[in-house]
Amino acid sequence: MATVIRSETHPAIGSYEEVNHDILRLLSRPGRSYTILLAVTIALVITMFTAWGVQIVLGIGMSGLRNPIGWGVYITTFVFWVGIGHAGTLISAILYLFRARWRQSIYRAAEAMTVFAVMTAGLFPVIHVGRPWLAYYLIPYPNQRMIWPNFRSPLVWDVFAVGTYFTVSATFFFIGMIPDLAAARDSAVVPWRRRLYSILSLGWRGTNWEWKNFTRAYLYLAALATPLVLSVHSVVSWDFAMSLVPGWHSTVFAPYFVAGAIFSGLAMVLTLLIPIRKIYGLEAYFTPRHTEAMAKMMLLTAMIVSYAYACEAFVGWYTFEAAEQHGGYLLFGATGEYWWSTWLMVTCNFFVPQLLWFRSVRRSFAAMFVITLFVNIGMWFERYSIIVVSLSHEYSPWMWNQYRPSLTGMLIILGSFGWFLMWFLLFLRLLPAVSVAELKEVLPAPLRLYRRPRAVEETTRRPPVRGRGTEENR
Amino acid sequence: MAVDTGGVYDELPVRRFEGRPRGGLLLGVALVVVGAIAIVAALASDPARAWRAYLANWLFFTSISAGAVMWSAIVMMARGLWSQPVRRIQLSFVAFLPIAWLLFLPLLFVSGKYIFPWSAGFVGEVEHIPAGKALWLNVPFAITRNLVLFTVFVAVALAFAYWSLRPDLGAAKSDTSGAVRRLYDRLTGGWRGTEVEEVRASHNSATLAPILAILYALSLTIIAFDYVMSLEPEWKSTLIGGYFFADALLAGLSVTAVATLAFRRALGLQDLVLPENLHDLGKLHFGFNVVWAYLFWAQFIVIWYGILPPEQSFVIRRFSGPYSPIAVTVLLCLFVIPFFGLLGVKPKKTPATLALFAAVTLVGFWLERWLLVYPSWYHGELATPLRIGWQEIGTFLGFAGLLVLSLLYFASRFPMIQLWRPMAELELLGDVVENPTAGAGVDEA
Amino acid sequence: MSAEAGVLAIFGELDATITAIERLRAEKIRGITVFAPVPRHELEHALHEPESPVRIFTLVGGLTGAATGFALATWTSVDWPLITGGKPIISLPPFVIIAFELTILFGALSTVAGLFINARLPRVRHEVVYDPSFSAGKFGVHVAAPAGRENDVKNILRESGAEEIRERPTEVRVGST
Repeated sequence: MATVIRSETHPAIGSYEEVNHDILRLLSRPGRSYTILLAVTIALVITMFTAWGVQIVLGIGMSGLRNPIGWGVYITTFVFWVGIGHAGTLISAILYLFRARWRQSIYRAAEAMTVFAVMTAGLFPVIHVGRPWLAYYLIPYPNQRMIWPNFRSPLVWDVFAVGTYFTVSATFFFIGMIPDLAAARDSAVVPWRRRLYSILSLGWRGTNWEWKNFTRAYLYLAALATPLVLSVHSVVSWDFAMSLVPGWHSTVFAPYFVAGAIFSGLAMVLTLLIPIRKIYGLEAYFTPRHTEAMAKMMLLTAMIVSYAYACEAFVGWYTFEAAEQHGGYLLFGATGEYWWSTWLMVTCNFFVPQLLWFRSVRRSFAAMFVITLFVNIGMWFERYSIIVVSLSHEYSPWMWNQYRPSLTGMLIILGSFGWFLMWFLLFLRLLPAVSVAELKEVLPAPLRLYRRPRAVEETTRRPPVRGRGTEENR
Repeated sequence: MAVDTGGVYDELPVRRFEGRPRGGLLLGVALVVVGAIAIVAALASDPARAWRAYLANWLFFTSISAGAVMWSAIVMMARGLWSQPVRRIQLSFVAFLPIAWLLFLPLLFVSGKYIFPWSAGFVGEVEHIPAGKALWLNVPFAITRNLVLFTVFVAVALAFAYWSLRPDLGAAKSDTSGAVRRLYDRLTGGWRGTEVEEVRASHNSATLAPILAILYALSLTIIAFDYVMSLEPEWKSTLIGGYFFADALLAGLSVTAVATLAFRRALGLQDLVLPENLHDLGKLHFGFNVVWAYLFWAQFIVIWYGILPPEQSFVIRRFSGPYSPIAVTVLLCLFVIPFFGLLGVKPKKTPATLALFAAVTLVGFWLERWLLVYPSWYHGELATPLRIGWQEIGTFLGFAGLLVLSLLYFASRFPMIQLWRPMAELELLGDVVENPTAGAGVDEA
Repeated sequence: MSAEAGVLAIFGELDATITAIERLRAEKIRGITVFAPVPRHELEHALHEPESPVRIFTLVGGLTGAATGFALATWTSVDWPLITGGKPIISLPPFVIIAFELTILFGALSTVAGLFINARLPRVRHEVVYDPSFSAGKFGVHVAAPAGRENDVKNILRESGAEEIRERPTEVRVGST
């Protein structure tokens, strides 16, 4: 019989068939708790649309926005959700290019999260502009009197960036899933599922030429998605940085926003996956190694974000301009009437992540779950601070004003979480939530002889390794 | 593949210069002599120009060596298995850091009035400095913050290098003799056996690497604030620190590529530094060319769009007038040429093309460091003629000589291929290198 | 696949599959199709396939996108010249961003087109040789029309370690059921 060698990333998984069995069994009739949860999310979605309807009927004043604070919690939440999406692309594309060996079992869920997060984010500009039936003004099309959008406006860049991001990540998500959909088709019993997966898998058979084209196309898509993900949050940051608002007009914004986006997205991936792992018994697929690797990246991005806070605060002070010194969301924010928001952001994004220096914390599911909740909150308030604090203290003191989020706005935001979770729950039961095919890439191939064929030797040739224990065993 | 039976070598690949690499030493000494003469002559004729040339070159050489050393820490933290054959070469640049520290002292203590427009008795056109800035922009404080951070950075870099080297020195000790042997004995004092030492070294370098990264970022940020941003006292950019040190990482990669290919030939490392390793190095280089373009762009577009006079002056001074050809050359050398050059697989795997594009990047990087500082002193009517003359080139040659000598010092003492692997990477490799029929990782099904 | 459906062998192990491919190739037998649940470089190496043309699609799509982005932004700005924010009518820095996004968008979509065209997807109606176990854990080697060398082929496949050998395997429609 063949010798089975355990994978070092997923030691508890024995064979290729076991993966199919473990993952594809999720594509079945859900239990009661799932149905209840889904019903709750749908109720939240209904709440959101009701609140939105109220805002449309009674007017944008219901949102609590007033001069000079024209951007409030809607734009905050837009930035928040776009940012969440970034971790999915990071794990599915960037880490693919870096050949990280732990990404395989989680990237599908992370990618789904990206698609749904961008779908959620996309609602907010439409909610924010007040007249959703004119949303088509956003797209490049000579809308009235043959006027085209102003391509020198960062808001138009944003339409292009977020639109491209959604299209490319949805495409990437679907293309990567084709072999798994074929696997789902081959093991489906229920007729409607069999039919669904047959259509979605496009007749995939896994022939050598299909794989060849597939792996190349996947590589190029990953290579395109990588600069895209950097550009998207950069463009979002430029919505702010292009304006001459104290605290916004800052060169560090683009990399700072990208790092913050990845930070918040990784936190959201963990917040979602830690309970799923428990509920669906995916312990063999999502191990402490995964939390550890993600925690390290969170620590890195937390440090980058904190570095940006420091640079913002320092340079704001260094300019010795009254507006920068008193209007910036960090300097003013820390002492002014929004102090709670700024300190919440600094606490959640700088102090709490310092716990991640400890290996035991990084490998603890419970600790990571709690920390990521803090990070989610902190990253929302980071955007809130940037937007609201800066806008309420611009150059003219007579224009200063305060902002209070309205009930309508908060209900819509609450509902957006329901909207996001609803899609995610549907995804869990309808599509393979763990990549069946890619996971097999990190499992050792079934071999007949221990001595590997020459072709295998050649592709795995490595520079010298002097293993610990070579002396004993040789 | 979880099992790696192929990687264990019967003989340790200890590669270093045995005896003295005469040609290299001669070159290094000659460069240092030429450089010293040039610096002295420049100081005698125009001290302001001499110190400014000194600063531009110091920024260049410190950035590339600090960047290269940072990479050896980064690949360790990221567990970059691919990097095993090049990480010691990256680390070898640590030999230049103490020299950079020494070269920093005259810059800090002597050159102030030629460099900082806000210092008392500045030689040159004094600009308007907003009131209150003296709190930050004063010479004693500038010296203190720069010196403290850079000193700690260099010290931690040396400690990191020590722990990276120590297990190898113990393993290779038996093959050495004479002065090298005495050095090894001194550095491996209190040796506790290969296995214990490797665990200790893994542990200590894993602790030191993130500390080094933080110090690298802080120290280079402060250097960028003081030696780039404050040269135009009204200018501000929150990104300048991040741009400055991330850019140094690109240069660290370029210089790694050039050094790797040079050592590959000189020490016969062709069997260890494989085309696949060069491919990975090339991919990273390509990626960082893009990162550079991104950071440049992030800084540029905010300033371009804002049209605020004190901000834009910095960009206008560099992108118009006599400096614009240099600025375009920098764009070409740091992004356009290497981007298209390294796009395919072949150019990354072929030593000659990889070296070529890394060298192009280094040229661009030197010009970029020069361009960060020179237009701040010489703008308006002073901008012509462009000041890249014998002073700048002579100082460059002198610093280059010191770099060559420090690398040769390192390479004639220590193994240029890291022999041990940190524990975390062995885990990643499966660590089932042992007998395949026994052991926890394998079972018969 | 043609009416002569050839020989299909099912393998449980990667090395056995590679051995079979190498031996078939050594015997100069062509028309080999390999099925696998996972892409493996070893199989690619053993098969000596030509490079996939998808990269051309990516490149052409990307370049088209860049050109489109610049063209769209420039043309529409000139079409109704209106100075906003003190920027020139044709402002390259903002247009670079539009061009960049369209480079990625067009590049990605044409990569997908390249994949579909080259891998002949979606395959809806054709009946093809396939076995559902190929998506789970088995490897398959199909040799089309061995032209009088059926026995050689079968021997090679068996000796290499095939678990099952089917002559004239049944063809199925995998695209829709």
